[in-house]
Amino acid sequence: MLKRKLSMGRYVQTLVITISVFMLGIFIGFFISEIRINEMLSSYNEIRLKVVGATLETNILEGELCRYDILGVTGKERFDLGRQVEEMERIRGKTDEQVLRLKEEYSMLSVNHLLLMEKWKKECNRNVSIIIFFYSNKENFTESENQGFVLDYIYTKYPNKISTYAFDVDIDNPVINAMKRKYDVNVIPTIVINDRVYSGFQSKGKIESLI
Amino acid sequence: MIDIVALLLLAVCFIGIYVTIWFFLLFLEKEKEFHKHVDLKAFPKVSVLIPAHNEEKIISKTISSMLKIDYPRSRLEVVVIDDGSSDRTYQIAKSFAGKGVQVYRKKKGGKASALNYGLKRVRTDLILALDADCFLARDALKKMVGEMQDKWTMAAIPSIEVLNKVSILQKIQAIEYSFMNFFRKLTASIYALAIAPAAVLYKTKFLRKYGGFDENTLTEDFEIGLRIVSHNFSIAHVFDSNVFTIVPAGLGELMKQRIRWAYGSFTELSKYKRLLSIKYGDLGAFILPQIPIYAGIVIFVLILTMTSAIQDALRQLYLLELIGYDIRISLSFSFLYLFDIRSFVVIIMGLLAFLNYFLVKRTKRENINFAYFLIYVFIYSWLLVFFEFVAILYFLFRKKPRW
Repeated sequence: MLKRKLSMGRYVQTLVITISVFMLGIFIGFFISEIRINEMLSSYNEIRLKVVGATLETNILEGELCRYDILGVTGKERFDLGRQVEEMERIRGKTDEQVLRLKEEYSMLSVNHLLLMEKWKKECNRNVSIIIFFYSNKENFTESENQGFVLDYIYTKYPNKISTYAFDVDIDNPVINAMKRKYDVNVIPTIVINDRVYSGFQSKGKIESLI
Repeated sequence: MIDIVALLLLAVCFIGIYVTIWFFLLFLEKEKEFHKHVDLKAFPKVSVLIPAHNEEKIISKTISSMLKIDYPRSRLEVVVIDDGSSDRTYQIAKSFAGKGVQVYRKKKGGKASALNYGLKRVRTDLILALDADCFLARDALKKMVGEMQDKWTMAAIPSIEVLNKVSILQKIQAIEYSFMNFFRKLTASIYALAIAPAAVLYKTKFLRKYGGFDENTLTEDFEIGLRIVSHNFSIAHVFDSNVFTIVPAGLGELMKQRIRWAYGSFTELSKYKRLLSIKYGDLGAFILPQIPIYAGIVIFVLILTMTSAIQDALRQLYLLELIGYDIRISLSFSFLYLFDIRSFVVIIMGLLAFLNYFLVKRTKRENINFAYFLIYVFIYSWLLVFFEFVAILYFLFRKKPRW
């Protein structure tokens, strides 16, 4: 009678090789993620320096604020940085410590830029719409995501006409809390367009009519 | 963040890597066997049984090719069994009577019944069951007979090649058959081959003792393969020799064929489920279990990932609607991003496919068109997954496919 053997050696060898290949793959994936995150952090630092630098420069050289095209100089990089923060949130998760820390810093950078932009708009009479967007990853998350998507579209379509600032209301930070109090934010999402508050989701058409 | 779909895909990936590496290690051990042959010491008499139903277009070529086979004419008997044809199959076959071809006619009963009819009327120790739309290569029979000298071998098959490589679909099937031949040879090298398709040489004593051909199955090639291994015999595979077969030209025909094959495999395996045991060595512990495991993967992966993919697609459509379908602008901030785990899985599966590609190319010693191979891996294989899914549904709902 033909006796069929079970080749135990091959099963064990295969398992060892498979686990190695698998772990290698996961390690490579993790390594690539880390490289991307480091690139993002480096971009973030560059932009932060630019914005802080511009703020200090304009403070030092009073009266020369209008010589700067603040929107042109930092607008696109800020937008890209915002997308990178979203990407990092997607890779690492919304509750990751490093992600939350980065979002806090990004929020403070945004407020810094917002104050500069408001000053520039007022003193230099620039036709720029300032949009502030309050969102949440917990409350009305899908509506927040929808609003964020629409605002990204609006910015891409009118990059020279608007400057958007997004704040995660779930982050407990004095600066963000101050912003919430300033505009009396109770509903999520809420957008503020040129100092006027609009609660709940606003459609593309509505926003375009207001900018 | 890892979700359930991602975990499932990782598990599938792990299984895929495991199976590929297992076969790769087996190949390293058994590569020499691919081109080894057993020299014939004598020429036993062989009866070639050709069951035919409405094969008037091709039967003449099939019979002619058998008459030209490299085997002593006096040791070869060609028998055509017309299985209730309504065309001129019988008349065309009868025209070869002068060349010693025996032709029988019976009421329609299916391929197995035709073979059993022929089996009752022959007296040789070896029988070659040849499908009417298949052509055996000249050197194939000698090599297959050589394998039968082993006392445990009850059947021998050649590699299957596609004859009609006209449409893209047929060319892709040709690649698929190259892979099938490769893996069948590997499994045959450890006595774990359990299927006997297209052109099979049998030891008549096995068929007479264990009940001939099963007339109630959709896939008699798998049924008889399982029957052979269940009695602790083996099936040999002559890798270097071919039988040329006609494959479906269109998607509809292909679908019917593959659903029937898959359905048949579930049905027959459930009849022979006792083979799913380490008692049967690698066959029972590794080769056969791949059938239900693959079916399980198809169900869960297809349902879960397709559901998740459809949900994603609907969400993207909704978002597009919010921006008035302004695709031009939306593409510049790319809202469709690749899920990291999925891209990892696709990359791994691609690498495994390429590994198999190089191994098959190495043994076949022939070029395999790389472009068609890519279509085979990334598009055609998904078609097969879909056909498998349909067959699973037929099986679970206990409905027999009607063809």
